Amino acid sequence: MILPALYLLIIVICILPTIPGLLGVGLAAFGYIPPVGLTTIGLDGFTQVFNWSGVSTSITLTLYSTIISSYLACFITFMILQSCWNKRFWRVIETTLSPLLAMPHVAFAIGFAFLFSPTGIGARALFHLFGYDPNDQSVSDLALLIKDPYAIGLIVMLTLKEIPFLLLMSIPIIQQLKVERIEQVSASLGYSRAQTWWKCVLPQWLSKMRFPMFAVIAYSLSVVDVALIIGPTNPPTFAVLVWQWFNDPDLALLPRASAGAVVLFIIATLLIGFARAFEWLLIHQCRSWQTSGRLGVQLPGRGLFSGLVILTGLMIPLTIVWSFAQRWRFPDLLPSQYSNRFWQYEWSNILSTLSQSLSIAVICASVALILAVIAHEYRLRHRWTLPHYLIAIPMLIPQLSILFGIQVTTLYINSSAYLFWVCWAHVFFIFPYVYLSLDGPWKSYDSGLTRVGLSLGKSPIHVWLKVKLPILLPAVMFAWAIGVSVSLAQYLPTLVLGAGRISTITTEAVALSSGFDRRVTAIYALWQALLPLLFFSIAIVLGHFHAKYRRLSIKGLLPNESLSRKPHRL
Amino acid sequence: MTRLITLLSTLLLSISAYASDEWQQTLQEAKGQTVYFHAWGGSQEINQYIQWAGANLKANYDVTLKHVKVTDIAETTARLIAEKAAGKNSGGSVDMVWINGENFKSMKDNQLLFGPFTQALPNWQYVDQSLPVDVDFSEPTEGLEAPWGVGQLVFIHDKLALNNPPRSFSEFLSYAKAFPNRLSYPRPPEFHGTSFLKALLIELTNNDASLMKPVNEKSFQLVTAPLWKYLDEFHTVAWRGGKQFPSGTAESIQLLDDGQIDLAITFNPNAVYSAQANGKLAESTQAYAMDQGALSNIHFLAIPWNANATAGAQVAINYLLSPEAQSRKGDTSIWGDPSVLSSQYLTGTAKNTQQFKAVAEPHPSWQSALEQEWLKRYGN
Amino acid sequence: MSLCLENLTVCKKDGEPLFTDFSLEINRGEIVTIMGPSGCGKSTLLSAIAGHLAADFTLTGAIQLNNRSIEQQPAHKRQVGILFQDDLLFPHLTIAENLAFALPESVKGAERKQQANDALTSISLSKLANVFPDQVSGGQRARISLTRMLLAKPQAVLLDEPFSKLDKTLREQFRDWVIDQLARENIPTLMVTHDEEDIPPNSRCITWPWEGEAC
Repeated sequence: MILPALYLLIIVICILPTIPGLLGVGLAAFGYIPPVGLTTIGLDGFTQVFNWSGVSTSITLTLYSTIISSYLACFITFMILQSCWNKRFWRVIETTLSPLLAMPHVAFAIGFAFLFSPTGIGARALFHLFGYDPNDQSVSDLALLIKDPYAIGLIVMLTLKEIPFLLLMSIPIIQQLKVERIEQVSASLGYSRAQTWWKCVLPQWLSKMRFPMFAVIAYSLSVVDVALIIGPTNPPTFAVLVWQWFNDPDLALLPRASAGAVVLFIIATLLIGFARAFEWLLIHQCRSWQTSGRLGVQLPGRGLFSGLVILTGLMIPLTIVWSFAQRWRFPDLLPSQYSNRFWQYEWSNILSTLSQSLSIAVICASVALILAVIAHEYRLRHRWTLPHYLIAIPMLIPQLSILFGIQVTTLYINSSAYLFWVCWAHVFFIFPYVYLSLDGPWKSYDSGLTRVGLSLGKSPIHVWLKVKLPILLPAVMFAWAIGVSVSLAQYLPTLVLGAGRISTITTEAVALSSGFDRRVTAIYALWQALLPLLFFSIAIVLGHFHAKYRRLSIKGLLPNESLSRKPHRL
Repeated sequence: MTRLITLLSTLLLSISAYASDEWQQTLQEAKGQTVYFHAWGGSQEINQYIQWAGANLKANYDVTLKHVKVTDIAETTARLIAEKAAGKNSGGSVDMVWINGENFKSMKDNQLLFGPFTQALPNWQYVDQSLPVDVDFSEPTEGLEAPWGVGQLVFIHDKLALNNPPRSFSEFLSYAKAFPNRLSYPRPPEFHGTSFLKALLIELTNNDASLMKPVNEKSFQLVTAPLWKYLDEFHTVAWRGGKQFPSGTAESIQLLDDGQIDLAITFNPNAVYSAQANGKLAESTQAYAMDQGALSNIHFLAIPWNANATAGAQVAINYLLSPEAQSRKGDTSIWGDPSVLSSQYLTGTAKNTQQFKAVAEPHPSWQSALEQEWLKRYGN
Repeated sequence: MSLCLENLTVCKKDGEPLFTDFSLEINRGEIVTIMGPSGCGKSTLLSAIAGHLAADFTLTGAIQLNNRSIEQQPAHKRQVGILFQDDLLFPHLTIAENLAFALPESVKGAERKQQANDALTSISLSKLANVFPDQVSGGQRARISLTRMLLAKPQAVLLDEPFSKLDKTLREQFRDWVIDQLARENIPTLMVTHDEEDIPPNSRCITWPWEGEAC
C-alpha cells in the first residue's frame, strides 16, 4: 500500500527526469528555447557544430581515447585476475581495492599531473638520473602526458582509474562462475591454469562484464573535469568542447551547444553498440579460437597491479609536500623553502567549502539510500519492477546531455532554490550506484530468515529492523559511503544547477587547478581524496561494530560478499 | 550676494546631508546581506585579497561577501542575459561583477546594469579623476561601474636567464627565431591572450585610427593582415611549435619559473613582487613593458540590475574604494594592483607603484572579432 | 486446539491448480504426515497455511485454527510455527538472543533473558548461551531451532522436511526428541516429508499428490 506509492515517488525523482532532460536538450538542439527568445526550429545548431573547425579532431580524440582506455583497462583487469585470483597476492589486492576506489578522479588527475607534467616529479627524477632536460626540447616536441594533443595522458589516467572499478565488478562474476571447479575440470583435460583462463574463463567473464564496460565507456566519453585537468586543449575532447559551448556568452549559440550534447549522446549510444557488437563478434561469431587448443600465456598481472598501487601511493606524499612548499623550483627534488601559510590562508575558505560539500553529500546519500532500500524491498514483493538498465540510465547517458534540459526546466520554474536543485540532481546521479551496490546483498539475503521471524509472531517491521537490517548493515553502510563519495565527486551538476553559488570541494579543485598555484591545488586535492576515504572507513567501522559476530575478516570490506555461514564444528 | 552664497551653501549642505542620509539608509539595508561577487578566480593573490576584504566587510558592515570564482566573466554575462530573457527582474543570482571592456559594453547594451550609483559612494571623493575613470575601452561608463584598479599589459623575465629582453614585437619575433621553443602567449579567447594580440596589432599597424572605432567587416581583413602574417611566422618558432599555448597568465608565470619559456605576461605590473613573496618566481625576475608602451585599461566593479543585495553590493564597492582597501590591494607583497585613488590617500608600497607608459585599448568590438579569427585559423 | 483445513485449493496465476479441495482436520497433540516426492506442492501447502504464499499463487478455501479463521490474516498474526530443513538461526544474534527473540511481547526486560536461559537449560545446552550459530554443530542448531519455535507459543506447528539435512544417527535421535517435545505442547502438527521412517508410529499419513488416500 505505501510501498507502491513510494516506488512511484522513486520513479519520479530518479528516472522520469531523464525525459525532460533529453527532451529539453533535443528541442534546444533544433533551435527551440523560449526562455531566451529562440523559437525558430531548424538544423542551424547541427550545422554550427560540424562547421566548427577542429570538431572532427575533437570527436576523433574522444572516440579513440574512450575505446583505448576502456579496453586497455579491461585487458589489464583480466591480466590481474588471471595471474592473481585465489593466490596469496589476492588478499593484498582485496585490501587495497577499497582505498584505490575511494580516491576521486579529480584528485587522482591532480596527483597524476604532479607526477607526470613536463616539470613534475617524474621529469625531475629523470633529470637527476639521466640528465634529461625538458627545457632543451625542440619546437616539435609536444607535451607527453599532461594536456598533450593526442590525449595519451588522458588515456593512461582513465585506464589506471578504471582498473580498480572493473576488478571490483569482476569479483562477484568470478565467484559466480565457480572458477575453481572450471580449473579442476580443465586441468584433468590437460589445460594449465593460464590456458584455462584464456580459453574458458575469458569468454564467460567478458559476457558478464558487459554492463560495467558500458558504464566505463559512458564515463570516459563524457568526462569533463578530468579532461579539463589533463586532457588536450587545442582542440579539447568533444565533451569539454560542448561544455565550453554551453558557457559561451552569446546566447544565440545555445542551439550549437545543445546540438553538441545530442551528438555526444549519439556517440555514446554508438560506442555502447560497438562494445556489444565487439563482444558478440569475439565470443559468439568467431568462436573457433575457444576450442582451438591449449594456447595461452601467463600474464604479468601481479606486477601491473603493484605498479598501479605504487603509483597511486606516490601521489599522496607528493601532494602533501606540494602543499607545504614555499619555493620548489625545477629541477629540485625537494622544496627549497617550506611554509604553512597556504594552509593558513586557505583554511577558512576550505572550511566553508568542506561543510557545503559534506552537507550536500550526506543528505543526498542518505536520501538515495532510503530510496534504494525501498526500491529493493518493493522488488521483492511485486512482479512489475523497473529493469536494471532503466535504473542505470543516469550512469550511461552523458551528464551534459541531460543537465542542460534540466536547467532549462528550472528556468521555466524560475526558482532560486539552488541548493535544492543541486541536491536533487545529486540524488538523481547517485541513485543508480547505491541501488546497484545493494543488489548483490539483497539477493544473497536468505528470505527464510524473514519468514521464520514472521512465523515467530513478530510484525514485518519488527522483523525487518531486527533481523534483515542488522544482517545487511555492512552492505547498507558501504552503499551509503559509495553514495557520499559519488556525490562529493560530482562536478557538472553542481556547476550547472548551482548558478555558481554552490561551491564544493570538487568544483573548487578543478577551478583552482587552472590557477597554477600548485600549493593550493594540492590542499584541495588532498581534502578531496581524504573525504571519501573517511566515509568508507566510518562505514566499515560501523558495519563491523554492529556485526560483532564476524571475525575481523578482510572480506568484510567488499560490498557484495554473500552471507556465508560456515559451521566450524559439526 | 551673501544671501545668495548662504542659500547656495545651505542647499549644498542639505544635499550632502541628504546624500549622507541616503548612504546611512543603504548601510542599514546592507546589514546581514550576502553579496555574491562574480570575479575572475585565476590568481591566488587576488583570491586571497578578496577573502581579506570579505572578512573586513563582515566585521565592519555585517555584509557577507562570497567570491564566485569564474574563469571568464563572460559566463556571468550569459547567465544575466538568460535571466533577463526569462523576465527575472529581481532576486537575481549575481550581486556584483568585476568587469571591463567588451563585457561591460555587452552588459550596458543589454541593459543589465544597476545604477548610476558611483557618485553616491562616499569614497568616490578619493578617486583620482585624472585617470580615465569614466571611459571603458572608449565606451562611457555613465556611473554604471566603479573603477577598481589599473591594468597594464607587461612582460616578466628572469634577469639571470635573459638579460636583454625584446623591447618591441619585431624584436620578439627575432628572438624567437634565434631561440626557438622559448616564447609563447596565452591562448585566446583568454583575455591575456587576446590583449597580446591587440598590443601586437597596435604595433604592427602603427596604432591605426580604425582600431578606436567599431570594427568594420570589410576593413578587418585588411587591417589585421599583418597580424596573421606575423603569427604564422611566429608559431613555427614558438613554444611547442604553436600547437599548444599556456592557458593564461598564471600558467605562463609557472612556465617561466620552470624554465620552459623566457617571458611571462600579466596585466598587473607589480605581479612580480607578489609572486616572489608567494614563492612562485625567483628573486631575479622583473617586469617590463614594450617600448611603445603597455596596453593599459582600468578595470571596474558593477552591479546587475536584478541583484538581490544591491545595498550590500554598494557598501562592498564603497569599501573596496576606501584608502585602507586600496592600499592593501596595491601592496606589492599582497596583490600589487595599481590603485585608482590619488596617491596622497594611499599608504605603504601602494604609493610607489610601478607605472609604465600607457597605450590605450582599442574599441571593444575588436576583441571578439580578433578572438573569432584566431580560433578559426589556429584553434585546432 | 485443532487445525482445520477446508477445501483448500491453490492455483498458479494462469489458473493451473496445484491441488484442489484439500480438507484435513488435525486434533490437538496429533501429528499428521504428508508423504510424497519432491516438487509437487507439499511445501506450497505449508506456505499457504503459514501465510507465506508467493504472489504467483491464489488460495481458495478456509483455514481454521481453534475456531479462528486465519486464511485472511497476515503471517505474523496466525500463531503458526514453522520449522524448515535449514535451522535458520539468525546469524547475527547469539543462541540466547535467538531464543529471546521468539518470546512473546508480554514477557519483558530481564525476564526475557531468564526465560531464554531456562529454555536452553531444559535442553541441556546452557553452555551455548553466548555463542554464535556458526560455532555450533548442526544437530545442536536443529534442536535450538525447534526450541525457539516453541518459545513463541504457537497454536499449530508445521514441519517442512525438518530432518533431511541431518545424518542418519542424528536424525533418529532428533526425530524422537521432536515428537516428544510436540507431544508435551499438545498442539496440532502437520509434517511434510519424503522419508517413510519419519512418520511417527500410530499417526495418520496422507499421500501427496492429494488423491484422497491414506498411506
